[in-house]
Amino acid sequence: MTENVSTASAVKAPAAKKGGAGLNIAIIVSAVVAIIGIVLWVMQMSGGMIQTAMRNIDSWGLYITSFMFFVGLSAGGLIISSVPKAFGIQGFGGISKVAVMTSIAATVAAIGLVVVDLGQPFRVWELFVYSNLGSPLMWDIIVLGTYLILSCVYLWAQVQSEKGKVSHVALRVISVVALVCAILVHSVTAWIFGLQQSHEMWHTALLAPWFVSSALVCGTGLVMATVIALRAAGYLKLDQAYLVKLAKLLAVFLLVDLYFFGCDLLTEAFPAGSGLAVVDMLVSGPLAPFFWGEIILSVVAVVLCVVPQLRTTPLLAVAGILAIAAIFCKRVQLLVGGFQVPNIDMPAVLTPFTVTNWEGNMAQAYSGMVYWPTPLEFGVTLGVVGLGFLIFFLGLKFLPLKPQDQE
Amino acid sequence: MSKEASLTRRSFLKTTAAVAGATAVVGGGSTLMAMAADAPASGAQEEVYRGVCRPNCFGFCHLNVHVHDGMVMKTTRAPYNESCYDRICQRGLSHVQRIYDPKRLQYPMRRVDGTERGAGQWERVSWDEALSEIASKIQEIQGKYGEAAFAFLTASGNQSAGVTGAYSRLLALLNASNIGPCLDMGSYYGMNAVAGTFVGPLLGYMMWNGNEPTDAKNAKTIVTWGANVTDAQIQNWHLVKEAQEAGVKLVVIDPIYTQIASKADLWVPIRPGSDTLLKFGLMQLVLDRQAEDVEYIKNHTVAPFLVKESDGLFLRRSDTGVAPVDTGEVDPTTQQPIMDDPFMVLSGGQLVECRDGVDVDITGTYDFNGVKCTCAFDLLKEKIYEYSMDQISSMTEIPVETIEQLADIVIDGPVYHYEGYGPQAFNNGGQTTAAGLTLCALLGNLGKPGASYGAFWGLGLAGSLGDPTYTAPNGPSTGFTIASVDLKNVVEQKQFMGQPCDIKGMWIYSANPLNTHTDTAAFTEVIFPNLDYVITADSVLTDTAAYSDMVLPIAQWFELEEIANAGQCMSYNFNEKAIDPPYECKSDFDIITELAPKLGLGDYFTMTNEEALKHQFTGGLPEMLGADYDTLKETKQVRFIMGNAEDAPYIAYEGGIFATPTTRFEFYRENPTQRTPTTVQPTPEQIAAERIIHFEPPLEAWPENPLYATYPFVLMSERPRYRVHSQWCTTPLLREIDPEPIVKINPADAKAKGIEDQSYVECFNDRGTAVAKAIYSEAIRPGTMVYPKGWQLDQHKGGGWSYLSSTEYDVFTVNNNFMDVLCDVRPWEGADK
Amino acid sequence: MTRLGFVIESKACIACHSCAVACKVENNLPDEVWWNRILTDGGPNMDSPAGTYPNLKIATIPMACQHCENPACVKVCPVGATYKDAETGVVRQDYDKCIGCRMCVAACPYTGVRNFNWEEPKYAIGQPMGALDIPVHEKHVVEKCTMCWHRLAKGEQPACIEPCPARIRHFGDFDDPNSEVSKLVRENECTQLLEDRGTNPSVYYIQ
Repeated sequence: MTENVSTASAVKAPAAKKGGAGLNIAIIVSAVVAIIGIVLWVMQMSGGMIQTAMRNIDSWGLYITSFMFFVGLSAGGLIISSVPKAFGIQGFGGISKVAVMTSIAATVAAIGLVVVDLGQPFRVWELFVYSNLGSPLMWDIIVLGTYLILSCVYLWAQVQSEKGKVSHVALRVISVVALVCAILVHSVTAWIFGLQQSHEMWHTALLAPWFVSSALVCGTGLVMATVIALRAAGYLKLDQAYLVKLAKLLAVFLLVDLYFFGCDLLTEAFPAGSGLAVVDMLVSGPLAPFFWGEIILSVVAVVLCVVPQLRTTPLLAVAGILAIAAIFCKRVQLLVGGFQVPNIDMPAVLTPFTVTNWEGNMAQAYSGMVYWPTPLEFGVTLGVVGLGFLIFFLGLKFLPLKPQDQE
Repeated sequence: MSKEASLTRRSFLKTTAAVAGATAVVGGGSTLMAMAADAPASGAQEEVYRGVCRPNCFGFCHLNVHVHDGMVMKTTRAPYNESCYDRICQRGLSHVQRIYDPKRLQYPMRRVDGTERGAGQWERVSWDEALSEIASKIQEIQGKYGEAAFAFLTASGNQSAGVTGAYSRLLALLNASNIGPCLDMGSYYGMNAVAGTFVGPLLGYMMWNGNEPTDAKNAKTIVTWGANVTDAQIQNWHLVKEAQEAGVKLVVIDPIYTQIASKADLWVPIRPGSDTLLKFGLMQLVLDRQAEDVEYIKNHTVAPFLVKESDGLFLRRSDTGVAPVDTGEVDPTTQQPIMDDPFMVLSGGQLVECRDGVDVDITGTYDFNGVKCTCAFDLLKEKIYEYSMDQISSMTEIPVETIEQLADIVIDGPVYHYEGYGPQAFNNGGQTTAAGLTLCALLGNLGKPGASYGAFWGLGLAGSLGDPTYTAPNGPSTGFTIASVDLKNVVEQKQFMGQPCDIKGMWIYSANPLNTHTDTAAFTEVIFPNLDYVITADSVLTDTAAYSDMVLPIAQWFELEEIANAGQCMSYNFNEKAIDPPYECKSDFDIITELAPKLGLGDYFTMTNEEALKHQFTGGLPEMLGADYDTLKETKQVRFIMGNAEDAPYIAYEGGIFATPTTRFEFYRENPTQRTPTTVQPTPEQIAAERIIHFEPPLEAWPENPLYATYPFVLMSERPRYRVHSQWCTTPLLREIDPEPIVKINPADAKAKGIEDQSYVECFNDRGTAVAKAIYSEAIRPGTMVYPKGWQLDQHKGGGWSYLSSTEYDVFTVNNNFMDVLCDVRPWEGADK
Repeated sequence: MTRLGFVIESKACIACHSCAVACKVENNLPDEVWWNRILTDGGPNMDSPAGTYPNLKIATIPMACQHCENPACVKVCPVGATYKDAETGVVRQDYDKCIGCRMCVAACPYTGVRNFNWEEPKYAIGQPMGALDIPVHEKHVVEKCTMCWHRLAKGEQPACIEPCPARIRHFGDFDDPNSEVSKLVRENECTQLLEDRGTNPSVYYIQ
């Protein structure tokens, strides 16, 4: 996934010259990808979700992993954009609108990923009729919806404000609300997992703040990568100093995220109880590539961001992408890892519905990653990501997202 | 709301009352007020019939067969007249998927002309065509090779009066031969040898005699010998469990850590095939500790009888020159006058007639006109002490302390010894039952509540005794009766019992010999190639059906009326017809009835199935026994042995009476005979050795066998939990739990062989191979492997279990040696078929 | 109040699967679906013991929905498709409402008791089996043990109780002190699965 994101932006961004042919091609390509995704989704619906690798004991997979990831991505833009406004401090040089646009696109992708994960998407209306307000998933749906609307409103307000139709005070109020909402959306997404006593790995109070920090990491990374790409494509101009500021911020966020990770690992492992199984699984078990992946990517990104000699534009873009990739690794660890340590793993009748690798015993089913997506899931996910890009590119084409002074 | 029935307040209160036996007062929540008006209506559409589940797991449980719109919906537990026998199991519960199994045979099928048997090429034929062909083939074979050249082979797939009666009648009328099963006959032989077989109208045919399992609770200890109760006869587990709850101890003797072993107070792992030795060890300790019941031994065993060294027979008064005296009484079974010729025994060293009240000696020798005569008990002791305790310990691989602990237990009676069919599945298996019974006879642990040794299974005789001519209208068949393990020899030698014998045609029903008997290759390579025509009547394409020329799709159990007359509940069980046979299936009875006219036997088969059952169960004897058709139809179940299961369970050998020639317990016999005649006759030496109980090693699976170096594993089978023999072999829901052939192996053995858990392996010996999935299990004794039986050849990735076993048999027991098999194992490198 | 539930004397369970089969037939469960599964507490495979021959032990745990008094699944369902029946304590599942998000599957600590129909239900035999008044199974919804709600409605016990050959399954009302199950719980040392999760299951095991 990480590679998809990075290649997509690398390939398409340079083409997007002032809404020219490049952008049109990017729009067409993302639309095609999105349509292919929809076709695959229809296949998934008609042939059954048995075509995914999800099963009863690993009941969520790439879709929910990517959902978490995109919720995180959506954060950064809004927070980067709203924090300066909310607190009345100096911002990042006019990238506010583009940043919010990334948020909108990522939020749409996140919602799309929930929808493709549903067995009965046509019953989505029930969410509004039979809402169980006690369910963290319901909270998330409410907050995510609100967040999307707020992002749109916030973008609109910025545009209007620039035209002088919305007062700066009003904009500031909206940005405060948007900021609160952004924090909430990550907390609530975390609570989908963190409030479950069923999975030891998820059941930690740290999860919500940690989701916020992860969101800040990948959101900042995304904004950095995006603006570098847009600048390279000539869509906007941005002073290098702002990039450096973003990079420093990214480094701080990364370190905070790693700090949370360390706290969590220590808390799990120290009693040497059942939590040790979680740590073992991460450090040396089936999820080790993602664990070490996250750590190494994060550390490299931090180094790129803090060593002045390394803060060249290309390397900062790399740092942004590495940060995004690190957080994706984190999401995989969290989701698959949650299922990787079952509460009850005693042998019993195994059928194709029980677990992906059902033709042995439970120990064998858990010996590698209990879940690995099928090509269909990659395809559908890519489709949703394509939809996110489509929205972003459409925004670039049709909305006045360039910094005011550059238009 | 879902399309689910709402729980109504009214019915909910009923639930609470039914469950708790008390009425709960519940607040009036609105959900409970919603009436489930449709629930009673849907209930009314269902009809419930009484079915009898009869795969011969021994249970013969009564089931409710729920029918809706002409279709069986489910089977549930039905009440027996004795509620301790209200039972059902995973197999009985899955009948609906057995009846409507997609693999069920739907119409008669003929092997396509010009294809090999077993090639799987079939053509659909009409019943008329099938039966005409069968009739003409039977006539052709009988015309060409003699009447006895056509044979019927059956086993225990449908133990009931209707099907057995009809086939017996046809067999007798055709003077056809009968291929008799050799399944678990070691145990039968051993019991019959030392204790005799009880047969009688008030008793049935007690093929495996013992105290009724409900008597186990009256024991101090239950000892199971190679009895995998929790898989093979799970209907009895609750009786063992209830006994345990009442304080009875449970000892399990088994090489395998079975479920029941896990529940035992003491599990004694033992080397396979050595059970007889353990029993001798226990007898040693009984004698060492002088714990034997001397009075019982004196009065109820042949211990005092004097065995003549010259001919091995007991010394009788006639040996002293006094001719037998006619008592004026007539033996009711043989109709011969009873002659008085008492045995001569020693009393205080003096030779006297063995009469009531004589205090006999049980040890000592007597020189009778130069012939040394020895008390049979002395001969027994010689055998008991033949192996030292250390030898026994090393051969059974049980520590001496454990044997001593076990001796404490068996001496402290009453002890209910529950025998399974594992130990007797070796070539020496007849002796294990004989030795077990002898151990009990020494202790007087027989014929009393809680004191028993044996398995428990009988056959009711009311039907066959109601009209003995029904099964043989023109007298018994003049054909041969051949043991299935000897059939290969008969076919090869083309003679039997000194007469020419060439079996050229065979009809197989209620049986799957290629699968559930030993030595599949004997059938596929020798027997079947000699047959011009093979007919198999079954409900799925079993291994045997697959190798046949004509396959007849038969009605399943609930598709016709039947009286199941065998099993462990010792009852006649009335099975109602719940549905018509689906597709083109026909009952065996109807097949025979429709075939008969084509054979010119139409006049003999004019009754309907119901009429035939009524005929068999009408008349003096069935009515006297209270087992007439009308009573059976009404009460569904009538017991054919004395007592009742709950309060007065049947006690075997009550009063110390045995159905032996001497009416005493015969650990020594004058005239050992084969269980059934075979092409091989026992030598005089074999007969002499067979007179007294003894240990001999298994034929193959024994460490002293040089073959052990090549084939280091004893290959044992277990009665499968998700089949009975090979029945239910394709039932879909059971195959979800148990999808493919497995072989359980100790992980240490497996690792030494480079075999990974859950990988495919090939078990092999010189006779054949079987491919199965290796399952690591510490329950398996190192040096052994265990497979659940009953997988069909087409369910294996290669080979089949019975290709590894042989039809070599002990000349006396004439038994299938299922477990007397050595093999080796290697990872399977083949490809899927 | 009423709190219906089970007491299972699992110490005498022989893993025969009769309860599981009865459940499957009664509820016409599609192929590959088992609401009641029989767990081996021992070695790596079904029926394999823990330890080294001959020092072994094995236990068996029949496990279906635990009908918790404090069910994790009910809290998380966004549309209330899984809910607790207030009158009986039965944790119910409304197939028609379920949106197939599998939040309940993830939330349930009792790994594997909830089944999502991953495809259009398939049936090995050509016609329905079991009870006549059971809900129709749907694709892409979560299902599980209903405590045989359709039978409770008729005053009958769940289908898994009677057929147990070991006679170790008991059903009744834990809120009624005189019920058989209440007595069993009082008079025996009982355990619940994963007691530390605070779900308070309505299934007690005598081990």
